[in-house]
Amino acid sequence: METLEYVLMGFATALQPGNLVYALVGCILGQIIGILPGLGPIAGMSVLLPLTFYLDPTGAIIMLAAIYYGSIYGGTISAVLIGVPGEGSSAITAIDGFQMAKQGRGGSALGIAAIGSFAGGLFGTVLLICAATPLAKVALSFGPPEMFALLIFGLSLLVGIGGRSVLVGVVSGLFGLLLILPGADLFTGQLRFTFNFLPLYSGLDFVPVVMGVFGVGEILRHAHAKPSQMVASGKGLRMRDMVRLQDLKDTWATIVRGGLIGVFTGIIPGIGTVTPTIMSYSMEQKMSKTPERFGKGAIQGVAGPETGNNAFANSAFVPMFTLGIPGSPTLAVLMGAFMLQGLTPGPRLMAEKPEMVWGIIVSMIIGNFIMLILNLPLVRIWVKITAVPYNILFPTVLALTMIGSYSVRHNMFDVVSLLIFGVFGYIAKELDFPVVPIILTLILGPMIEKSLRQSIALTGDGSALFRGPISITFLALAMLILTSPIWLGLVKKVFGKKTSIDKAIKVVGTDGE
Amino acid sequence: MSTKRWGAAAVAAAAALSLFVGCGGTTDPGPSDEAWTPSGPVRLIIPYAAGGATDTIGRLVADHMSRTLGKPIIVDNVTGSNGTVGTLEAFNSPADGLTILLASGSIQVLIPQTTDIGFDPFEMVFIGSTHESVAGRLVMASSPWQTIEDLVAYGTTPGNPTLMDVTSGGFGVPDIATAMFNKAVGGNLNYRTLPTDGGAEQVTQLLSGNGHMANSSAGAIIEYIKSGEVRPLMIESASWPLLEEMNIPKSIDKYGYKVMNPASMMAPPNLPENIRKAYEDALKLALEEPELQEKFIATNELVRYLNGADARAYAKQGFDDYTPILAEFDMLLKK
Repeated sequence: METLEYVLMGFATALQPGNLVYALVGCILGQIIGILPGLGPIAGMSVLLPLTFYLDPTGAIIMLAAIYYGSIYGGTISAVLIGVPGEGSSAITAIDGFQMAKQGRGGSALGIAAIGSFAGGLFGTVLLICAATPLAKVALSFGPPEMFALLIFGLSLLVGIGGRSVLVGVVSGLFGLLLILPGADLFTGQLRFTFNFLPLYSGLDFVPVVMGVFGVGEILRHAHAKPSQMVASGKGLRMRDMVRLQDLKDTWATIVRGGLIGVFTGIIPGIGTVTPTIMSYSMEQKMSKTPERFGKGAIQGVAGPETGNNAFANSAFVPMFTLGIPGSPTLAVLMGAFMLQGLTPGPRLMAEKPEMVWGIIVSMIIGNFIMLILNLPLVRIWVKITAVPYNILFPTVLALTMIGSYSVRHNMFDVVSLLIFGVFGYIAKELDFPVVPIILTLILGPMIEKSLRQSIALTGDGSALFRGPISITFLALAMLILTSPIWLGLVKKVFGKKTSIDKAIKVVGTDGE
Repeated sequence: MSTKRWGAAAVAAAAALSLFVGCGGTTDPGPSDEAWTPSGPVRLIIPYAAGGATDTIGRLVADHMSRTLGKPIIVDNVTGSNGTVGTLEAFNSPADGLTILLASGSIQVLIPQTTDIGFDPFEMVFIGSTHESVAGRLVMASSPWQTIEDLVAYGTTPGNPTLMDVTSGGFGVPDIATAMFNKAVGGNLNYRTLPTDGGAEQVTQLLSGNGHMANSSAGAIIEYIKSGEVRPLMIESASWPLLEEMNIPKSIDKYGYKVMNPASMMAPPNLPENIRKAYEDALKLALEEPELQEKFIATNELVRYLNGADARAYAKQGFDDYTPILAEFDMLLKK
């Protein structure tokens, strides 16, 4: 009953005209970002981050969240129509979706993708609603030691399975920690690692670093790769091509399974949006009576992954809202947006600002309806966006990132750091060095430092870190994950063969966003 | 940007000169008798993020002052390092009256002694003071301490667990306040600091029982005082009207100390006196406007006018009072 009250409270916030407009604008921007090949959700969100300084916190987050799930919807369109996924989570969709488009069934593919995405998005949000209240209740039992243990656990999940290997992930994460060293010390206020350089007195700002690594870095990479651009045609995209009863009959079970896969992978931090799409696709192929049709335009090959990635996108908010752990780098950027507004997502925020948190959650339900409406009748308009030439798109985005960096603190130093981190992001991606852990430690690092030092202050000797079952459990789990290369090796030796965990790590390793 | 401003200043100076030449032959007008007005838009640097108490007061005052002076005053939030970045920006701006600053306490009374910021804020020209932050000693309502004496008795009894003092991070005014409190009760208060990001987190640490007491300004905590979840035991600033209505005693009466955290409007060093005076007069008018005074109430700050000389003296008193405490904590800058 309490949950119902909160949901109603959320509707009161989300249905305010201003917030509805933010959701709509976010959905449209997200669609566009998703459709444009070479501009994924993380790049798009980090580029638009400075815009949110000028909005009220609730509206800003509603808009960024809409950009996030909107881009995952949008990615489908370019994946189906031109065979180039707008972002990673649509890669699997492109396999059968593009084949369907070639056979003149593009409308059918987009229609079922839109419906599946809608269902998946709703699944994810419902899970978030169910999980939020019980988890928010434990808010006050999370003091500094519990927060520290939880953050370490979350980080170990993210670093441990987020890249080529645990070791490279840890190195990258440590580099991110280095970036948070400059600035004023939390305890004494003394300056550290500022090298008498005034702009460093308040530390490196997170916005130019993220925009550099993910926005500028991505642009440089695509400009360098000179991708060929294909323009989709608007054929076979009428409404009656898109919503067909037969398609729904063929895919309802696929949609339910895809939704369940997405929802459960979404709540595990660090899995990445590609994983549920792969899992759903291979499951449908295995369960199908005609597995040979997969890869040649099977509608289930579109419906499953599309439901899965949207269910994932929405349920990935669960760990962020309830525990303050961003489940993916994109959500880490979103979490950064919270912090720019002076808010720290987590159990405390749920307890302190329920009207805001529930407003955002409910706005996601509304956003999914908006997306359904935008997707079905407007597809022919979205198609035209795939035709924006890179020589217009990339300079525009670059200019936006520079303005955005400057606007944070009115400081040219931030523009310079944007460019430096842009070049760094480009080189790192070319060398296949994982950049995601850098961003995660950059965002979680200050919280880790604070909670650790607060914990030590509590008793003066650090024993408070182990004061209760919550902190001990999380620390033990973190140790287990960080030592996984050792004991996984042992497991392999004992059983002799490659384990499915091995495979899972491989799959996750390919996922950037 | 700055070359542009220099250019504008040069044009203004040339115009002023030609005026003088034009009315040559009359008796010396004495520049300080002229009511100065800005030659163009004025930039008011507020070295904190938009939306805080100083920003809110600054914007209200700027709006009123621009009507008095006849030119727009544009607020520019140049943030960073607790006000240091924006203050330095103002310090380095030309003293032409087109750049002014509104900075609150730390950068005047605390940061110059402890941090190598490369300039002395007291070299700046003080236009006046707009307000001072309130401060009080607070505990959780479910704690056993009903009065400040209860807290002192608990904290000074050997064998009792250490009191965790929730601060707002860094070594700031709240740390100084607790140090002065400790000194006033004999120096054997058994406490340790729990730094936070201030605001909401300070409240959470109190409510969750990880922290026991806090010196806090109004901000996030005021709603908790009103709801009864947080209990104020003592006013530590010069006054705090809300708490005075609740008959909370003052530290200045009980223990002979008070926390000073004034916000001052300042201008770059060597600002001509006639310009300073023009701003001072405009500031006074703004702060005495009844319509504005009603709006100030919502900020929970002690808004009152001090002229430039008094503002400087008050800030200097805070600086001098705090310096020996900082020395005790070994916080003073090593030259």
